[in-house]
Amino acid sequence: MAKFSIGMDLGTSTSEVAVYRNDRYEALLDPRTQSAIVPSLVAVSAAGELLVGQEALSRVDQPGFGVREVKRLMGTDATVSLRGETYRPEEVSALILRKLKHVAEVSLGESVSDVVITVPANFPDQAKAATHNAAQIAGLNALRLINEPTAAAMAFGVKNLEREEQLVVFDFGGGTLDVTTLEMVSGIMDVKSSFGDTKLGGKDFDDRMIDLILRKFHATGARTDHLSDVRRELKAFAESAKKDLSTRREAEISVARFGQKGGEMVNLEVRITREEYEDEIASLLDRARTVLKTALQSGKLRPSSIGRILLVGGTTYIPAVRDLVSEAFGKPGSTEIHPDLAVAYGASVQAAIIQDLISSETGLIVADIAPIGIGIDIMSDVGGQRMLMYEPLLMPNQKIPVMVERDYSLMSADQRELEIEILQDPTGKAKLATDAVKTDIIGRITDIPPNQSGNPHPLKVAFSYDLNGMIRLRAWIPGLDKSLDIGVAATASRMSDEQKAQASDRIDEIWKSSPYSRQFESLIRKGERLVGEKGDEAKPISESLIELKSALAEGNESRIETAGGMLADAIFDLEG
Amino acid sequence: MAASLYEMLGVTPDASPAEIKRAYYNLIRKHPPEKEPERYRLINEAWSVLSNEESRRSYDETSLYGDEVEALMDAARRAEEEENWATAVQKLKMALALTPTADYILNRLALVYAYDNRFPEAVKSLEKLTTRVPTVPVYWSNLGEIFLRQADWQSENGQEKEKTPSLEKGRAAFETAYRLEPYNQKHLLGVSRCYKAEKNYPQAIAYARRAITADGEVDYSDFDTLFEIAFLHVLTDDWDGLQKVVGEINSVTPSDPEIRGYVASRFARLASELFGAGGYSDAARIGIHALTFQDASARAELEKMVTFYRYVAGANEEMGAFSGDQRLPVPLRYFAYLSYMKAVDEPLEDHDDEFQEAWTNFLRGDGDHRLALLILRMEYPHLYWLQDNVYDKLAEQLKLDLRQGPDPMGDGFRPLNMAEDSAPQRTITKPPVAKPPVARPVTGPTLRESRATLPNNLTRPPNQGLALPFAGGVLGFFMGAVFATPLGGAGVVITGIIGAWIGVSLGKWLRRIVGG
Ligand SMILES: Nc1ncnc2c1ncn2[C@@H]1O[C@H](COP(=O)(O)OP(=O)(O)OP(=O)(O)O)[C@@H](O)[C@H]1O
Ligand SMILES: [Mg+2]
Repeated sequence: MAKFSIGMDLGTSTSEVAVYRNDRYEALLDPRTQSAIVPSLVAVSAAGELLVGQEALSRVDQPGFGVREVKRLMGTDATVSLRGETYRPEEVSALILRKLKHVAEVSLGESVSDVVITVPANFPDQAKAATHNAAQIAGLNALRLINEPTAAAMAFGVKNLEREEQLVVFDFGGGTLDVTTLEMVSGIMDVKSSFGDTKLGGKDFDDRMIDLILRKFHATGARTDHLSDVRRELKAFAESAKKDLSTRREAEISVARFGQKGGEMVNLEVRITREEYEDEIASLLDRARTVLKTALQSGKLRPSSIGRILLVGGTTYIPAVRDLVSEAFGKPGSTEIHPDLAVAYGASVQAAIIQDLISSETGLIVADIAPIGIGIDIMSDVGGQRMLMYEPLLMPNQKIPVMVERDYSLMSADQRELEIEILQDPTGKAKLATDAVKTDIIGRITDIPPNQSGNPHPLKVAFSYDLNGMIRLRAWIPGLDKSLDIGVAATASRMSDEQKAQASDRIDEIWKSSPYSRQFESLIRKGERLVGEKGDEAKPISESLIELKSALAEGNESRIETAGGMLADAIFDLEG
Repeated sequence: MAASLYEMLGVTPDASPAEIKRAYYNLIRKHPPEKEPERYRLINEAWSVLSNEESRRSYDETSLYGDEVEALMDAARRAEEEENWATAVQKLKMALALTPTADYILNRLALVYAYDNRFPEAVKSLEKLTTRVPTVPVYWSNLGEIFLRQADWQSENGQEKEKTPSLEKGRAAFETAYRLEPYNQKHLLGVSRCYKAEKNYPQAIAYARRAITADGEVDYSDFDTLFEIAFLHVLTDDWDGLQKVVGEINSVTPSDPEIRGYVASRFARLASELFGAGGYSDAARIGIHALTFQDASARAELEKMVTFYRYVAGANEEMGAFSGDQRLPVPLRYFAYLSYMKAVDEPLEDHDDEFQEAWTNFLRGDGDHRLALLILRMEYPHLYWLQDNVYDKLAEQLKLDLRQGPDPMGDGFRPLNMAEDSAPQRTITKPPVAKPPVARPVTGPTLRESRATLPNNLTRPPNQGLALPFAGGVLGFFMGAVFATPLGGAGVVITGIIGAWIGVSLGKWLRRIVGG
């Protein structure tokens, strides 16, 4: 049995890793920064070093040298470029996960492989598949992908097993807003509903800040060119001004030689008050209010019946956001579980449940849901017209796992091929296929022999949605050897094993150029020199060299750490 | 059936909601998702049905009385087939007593009431249903259908239907169905039919037009609606409008000769009905449109029919001047008149004798036979044609060459640019002489085949519908059953429904023309 369990929150803006052991969870700290919060940033230094997390901050906004918010690209075909090389979003995410693995291994002094990773409740299927692949590429075994808000609630639940109440998780992060309703009964977290806006997050609040700064700057008569570069340059300043305003009434932004005025370079010096900023973000707050209202409706809950609102995610630090929560519920949101760490905590709790560190007889149990409805398109007779309709297989907020089998038929006896696409229905209201959201997960059956009986062939469809939120759909014509098998859990996992292995090697290669790996390079070079010079006398050095190299090759951070220490000691002993 | 949902949760069917809830949480603790995902899944399926008051009640009803209800529904179905409405009503009411929340049974009951012309009861049932579940479009459209039928029935029984407010209510019901299902053209057609029944043809046309585009495209599957619009244009004597619609029909009709033959036959049948109602020139015009669609191989018969309509239409027009034409001897006028009546199939007593007598009287009478024949040939070519072999023989005897006379086919009827023409009005009650070609079944529109599957609701086992954890699932199954039994005939295909409806209302419309 495992001694500890690891959970990872792979966020849009920040990522965290937590451990569950000895009946409690705790966040693990980046050994360099001594902070639990690892910015989700990847950059390459001028010298070609890989920088992940805090150390990437100074480079990340240089075009072509850094990547921010890669989570928003997960599951898409977009690529990003780093120092002239293109990467898939999976690979960049893998580097962040690799960093978290490193943080965990260094802090725990043990190698880490089995982890639970969180994903937004409304993450598209492909994005979940991409996350799964990213874990594999990073050398991790994803025990489970779970919904972020559910995880946050678990961090609360595991500490409050006796409590019986309705609660809401208000998770407002860097990229998404998710509102989840749950009921706690005798140690069981019963998730009722989850509703969100996948395109509303701290990033949008940064954009508004950038607008405001630029407007004020231009009002002084100064000019700027290349708007996209200018905005990119301002991003870090804007984000820190935004954070300042969460605790102060006024923020100051100054950037040297930012624009021109009268043919001369001028500095940007702008002051922004909290009131000005709140005016600027009014429409974002409105959207958040709408999400909150819809979420309560879909959970069939009245605000007054809610016992507790857990605030999760960095954007909930904004006072106006806190205000809108208190207004909606008539009581303030709670920060008793650290808003930045709750999700990672909960992920470690889920890992502990899976790895039996938490007893199923007495410990926390979670009954989770699928927030988005899933179905397929079928041709149907509507008022004498054949129409492509949405056929639900899973309703939004249905408990998972799910398995259904349905009977259909082809349209005619001589139909030669058919096509099925998996569709999503976030609201549960789709009727026509066009009301639903396409996933591009499509399967076909071709070369169907005509049915001699003159009737159309029957068609069976089996659909499942597992605890990871992975879908699988099979369809077959009974009696014929004709079938299809699609879904993230089946063929459409986006990357082949070979592609994943390649990506994994590539990530290993880049990882070796991280300062952490490089810090051993000079040590190794020195050790090798000493072995050459002193021969047998340097035997302890050559032994620890072998150990260090194999640890480096394996990528096992804690072994690297230990072997590195041994080597340093051996060199010290010989020279000292 | 597998273990009941109650057994799955380990409670009795009379368990209180609190007991069920407690049992559910205890079971989850005993069979957590991590350890027993399959058991856990089944527990949740049971819970999702039993935790909701409504779905629990409908599950209770179905599982307790499922077999009895099924038997009653079977009995009701048999009674319906025998048109034994009273028995059907009784069986359905018994089924409803067992499962009062089974919407599909109440819907069925309303339809049976309607078949039995018990409209107030039918309306009451459906109003109850649409109040209880206002989001099911088919209940609204059935309500609309019932108002339509009621109006029909009232007018057949001497009450003027355009004065009854039920058509307005019918329109409102169809409009609601349309709001719920904006892509279903049937609802817009329902509104159109109400307007038609109210003799508000422009609105009827407008709604039928909207129906065509309800699914986003105009194609051959819209043929029935286009044909209906064509018919509405005939009703309003809007020949330009008709022309345009025929053009549209032409452009959506595929080149498959069988399909074109079917379209031709629909026009031909309409033409023959118009002819039978005394609308000779209308029949000729529509007949010409039928020709547009008929391919060469099967054209001859249809052409013969259209030619006949055109002669009769021409003759009908000539009749007015002809009967008062003093230049012609009375016996000849009478003979030509009889020939005309025979052509339009007016019942004639002892007509053979009368023909003979009139002709003999003409031949015996004095006056210039040559001149009379000449006038007949030159000025009344259509009337001449109706008995041309008799006249021709006489002309030959009189050494009269009439070949240079006007072409009776030069009557201005053209498929795509017809001259203005006033419709003749005469009292005729019998069907026409010429028989239209027999309608052939449509081979069906070609559809995108790779978009595959048609739901097979009827073959989906009912158990599955019930086992679905969501009320939506259960409803979906029942709705499938409802769709399969639309009001207005056993046919599922709309062709059948419209066909029947034209059949019914045509009679009345004919009376309108005929009655002047
Ligand atoms: N004190 C603060 N005031 C305002 N905003 C803050 C503050 N601290 C962090 N944020 C913002 O919160 C966001 C990051 O929140 P968080 O780390 O919870 O998101 P994430 O987990 O990365 O994103 P997601 O969960 O949407 O993928 C960033 O936009 C950041 O600027
Ligand atoms: Mg987050």
